[in-house]
Amino acid sequence: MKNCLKTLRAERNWSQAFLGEKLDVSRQTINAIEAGRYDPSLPLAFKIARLFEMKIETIFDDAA
Amino acid sequence: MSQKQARRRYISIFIPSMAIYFSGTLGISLAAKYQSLPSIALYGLAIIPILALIAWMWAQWRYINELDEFLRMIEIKAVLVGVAGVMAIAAGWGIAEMLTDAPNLPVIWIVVIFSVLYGLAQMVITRREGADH
Repeated sequence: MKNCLKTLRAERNWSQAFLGEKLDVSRQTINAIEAGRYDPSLPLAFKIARLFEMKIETIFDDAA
Repeated sequence: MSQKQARRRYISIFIPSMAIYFSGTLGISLAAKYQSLPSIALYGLAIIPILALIAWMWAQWRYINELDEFLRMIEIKAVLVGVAGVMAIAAGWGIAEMLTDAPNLPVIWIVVIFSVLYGLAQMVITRREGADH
């Protein structure tokens, strides 16, 4: 699934490790989500959306 | 709890439990070989490696629960590969023993085979999923 997590993170000048800390997941998990290798669970997707104050579908695009 | 803390907690149980398992197994084997203990004592001592194995499995269970969802997925896949490998080897060798003159494979090797397969699978899956960078 495509997503704009990398862009959102870069806009805030956050490292993958920092974002991982905020979401209580590892840096590897952030890396895998950003690269599109791993689709997060619904609870984690909600957590990400809440953190960036956006809707899930704004961050994640399941059309691709 | 961070992933690093979870890993440290796991290693702190895994290494001593494996040391107890292997030294206990070796000690009991030597005691049996040289008949230095009565057989009832050997049966009693055989509990030591079993307890060490249970401690390892408990630490593994706790570690998998403490990981985040992506790393947990990798661990579970690796454990499944280990279990599937052990079952395939045990069943295959068992059939070979039953139908041919294949030498007897002591059941004690199951732990070693599982550990090797699990470790290899963990390395391969971690690389494949890109969790190593």
